Amino acid sequence: MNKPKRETKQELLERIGLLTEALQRERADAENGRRRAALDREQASAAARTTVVTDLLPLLDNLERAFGSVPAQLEADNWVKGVLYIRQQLQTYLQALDLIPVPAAGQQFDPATMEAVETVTDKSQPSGLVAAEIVKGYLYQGQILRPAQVKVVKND
Amino acid sequence: MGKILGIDLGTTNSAMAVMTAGKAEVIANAEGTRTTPSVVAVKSARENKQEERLVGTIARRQAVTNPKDTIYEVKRLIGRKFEDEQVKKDVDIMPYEIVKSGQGVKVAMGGKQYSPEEVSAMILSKLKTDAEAYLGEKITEAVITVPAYFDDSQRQATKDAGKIAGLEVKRIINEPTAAALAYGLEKSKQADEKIAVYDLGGGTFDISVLELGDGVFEVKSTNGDTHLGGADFDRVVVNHLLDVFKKEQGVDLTKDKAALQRLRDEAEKAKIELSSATSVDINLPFLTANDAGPLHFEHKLTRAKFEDLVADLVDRTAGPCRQALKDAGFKAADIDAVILVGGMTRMPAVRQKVAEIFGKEPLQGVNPDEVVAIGAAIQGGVLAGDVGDVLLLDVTPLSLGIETLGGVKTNLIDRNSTIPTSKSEIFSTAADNQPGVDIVVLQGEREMAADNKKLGVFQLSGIAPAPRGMPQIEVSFNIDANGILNVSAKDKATGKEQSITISDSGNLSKEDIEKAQKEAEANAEEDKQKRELSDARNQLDAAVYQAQSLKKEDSYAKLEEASSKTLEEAIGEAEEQLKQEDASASDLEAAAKKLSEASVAAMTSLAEQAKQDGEAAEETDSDEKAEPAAKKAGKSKAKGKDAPVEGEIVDEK
Repeated sequence: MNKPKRETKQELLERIGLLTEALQRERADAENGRRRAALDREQASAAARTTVVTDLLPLLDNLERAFGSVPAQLEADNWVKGVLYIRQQLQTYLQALDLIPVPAAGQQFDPATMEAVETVTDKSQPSGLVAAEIVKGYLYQGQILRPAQVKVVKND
Repeated sequence: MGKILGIDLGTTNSAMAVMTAGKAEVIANAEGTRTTPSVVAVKSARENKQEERLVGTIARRQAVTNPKDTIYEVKRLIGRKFEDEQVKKDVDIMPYEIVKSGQGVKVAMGGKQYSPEEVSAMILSKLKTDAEAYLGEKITEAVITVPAYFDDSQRQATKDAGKIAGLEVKRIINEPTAAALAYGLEKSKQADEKIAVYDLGGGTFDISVLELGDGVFEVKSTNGDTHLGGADFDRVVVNHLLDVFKKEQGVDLTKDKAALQRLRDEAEKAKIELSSATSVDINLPFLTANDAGPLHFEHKLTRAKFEDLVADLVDRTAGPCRQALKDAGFKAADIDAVILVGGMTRMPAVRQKVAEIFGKEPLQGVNPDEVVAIGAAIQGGVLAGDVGDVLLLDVTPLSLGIETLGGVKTNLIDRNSTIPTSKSEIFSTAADNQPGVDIVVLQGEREMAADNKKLGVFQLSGIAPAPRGMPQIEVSFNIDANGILNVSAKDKATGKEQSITISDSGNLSKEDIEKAQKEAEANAEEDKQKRELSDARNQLDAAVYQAQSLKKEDSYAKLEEASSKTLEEAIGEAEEQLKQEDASASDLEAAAKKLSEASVAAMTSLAEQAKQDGEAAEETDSDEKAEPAAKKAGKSKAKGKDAPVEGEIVDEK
């Protein structure tokens, strides 16, 4: 006779305990998952905006570079001034989006908002000071979007 | 008992994942990125005496200013003796100080000495903290991965690092084993499955050959190159760009650190983009300046050129692979599955090389940067009992549906749905006064009913006489956790219900499932055409039905002769098309269009006449224009059944 073995009451109770715990765990997982999904949805639209702003930064950098080297004979040129106004317009717009440049030049180096790409010796300055900013960093809605790339004073 | 964190403690980057609701989920760190640089630094205390410890991205950002106190690639040192060849090499290369401590080594940071275990613990500790913040619960247990070639002392040291970080390390597993787990290969039915894991990371290349026996992976051989990785590919591209710029502008940028940094960033970006694009435009305005003014860099880098540049690097992985196969005592043809790990394996030329070496396409689907962490999480899940037998969540391997008008399969439950699950949908009849419908339950991926597996048939009879499309028949599919499928059909008007239970819907071998999927793929185009033809036929049939109903209206007699003639002709043509068994979809569609236009014209003219007659004819008009309530035309298999038979339950199995 190949009668299936009947579980004892003890075994059944144990199984109920196991299953109850497993179910509770699963329910909790699902509940937590739902909560996180809701949060993720909120963050997803913010993340999409962040992507757009991040992709815009190289353009902004290049515009800054262009205005960083306007030939002297063109500085008073009206056409150049017009383009300068366009840059101003863009800056105003980005500020309204809460995109704020990281203050870097002359500040104490802070790895939370800056990335050191080079060190320079300058006895007239204390070590750890930002000697120059190579690429602007940005804070977007209070969060660091891109660290500033900087040269840092280091006197040994 | 809480969750067990799966940790890929890498040489350059680390990643973590955890099981959530039966699935491994990668956890982002506090900075929001899914991998964390394996870098630790101590910011030397100045004014406020207290030293500050930095881990991850922030530590990496300050490495240049603080090279002596920034520890990276400590994994190369963990568990090793000071006398080891590898350590001797690192003492010369690394900017930080490596000292002898007993038999082992220590590294100096912020004026103190730390063991590699302690430094690794700082990385693990950050991962633990960030995971706790994300999950909102305490993490006390972990599974940590190590390279397959790690010896006992390196494994023990990694375990100790976990302990220092406040983690009970439930298990140390091999990185290639974790990758195999992430692909579910431990479930393979085949005995002695042989797996090659090709891991081309940021700085190291590893190849491992595994053999699966009794659900346990055995490492048969390992090989690799400890100094070959993505960074080398970047360097080659940067050098190429420097050459191009020098040739075009006559300016050497190697001394211009700012320009070099921009080139480096751009080179890495280009490398990544070339995995999906066949060419990238590198555009760096105002890169530098000379006496003549600003200099720009514009260059198109094609994938072909890139592949040419890095061909030597890709080729360098072939030797270790062949050696590993040889050491394992296998031929390339013996390997059953190849897995890719590491970001560089996204590069098409690397995949091609792998396919060439092993004569087999590598598996795809899991992010190669995360595959090891995911496998570690799965191992953690097994240890925690999440993946145990008690509540193993299964999926339906193939789609389940019923046959509908024109021999088409309509899915109710899609393939890979997690069970238990249920789904219902409303269907209707295909003919006026149809007394019953046959419910044919189908399993498979093909568009036409006949090409799928018939699981069972039953009949719902006693439907009250009604025009076609009017009765509402609710068909419900319900699969329980054991894969037992129950299908029921209910006439909403009469409340009559019939059902069938099929117990072996999930009982398919891996081969059966793969065969079904392959067949569906192979026949996809043909099936689509058949389906379109069937849809066109159904559409035309519906148009004829509508036009015939219009003709039955009382007001139809008042229709001008020209209009009624056009309509008659269109109906005639349509019926002719329907009779022709080889009518094409476009012919059927054209006939349906013509008939619909004729019907609309007839209805419009009738409505105008009614208005002129001053009759309140709105009711008939709107009735005529009303679409059948049910969106889906129902079953065609009524075949004019004479007398409604008692619904019979058929279980073909």
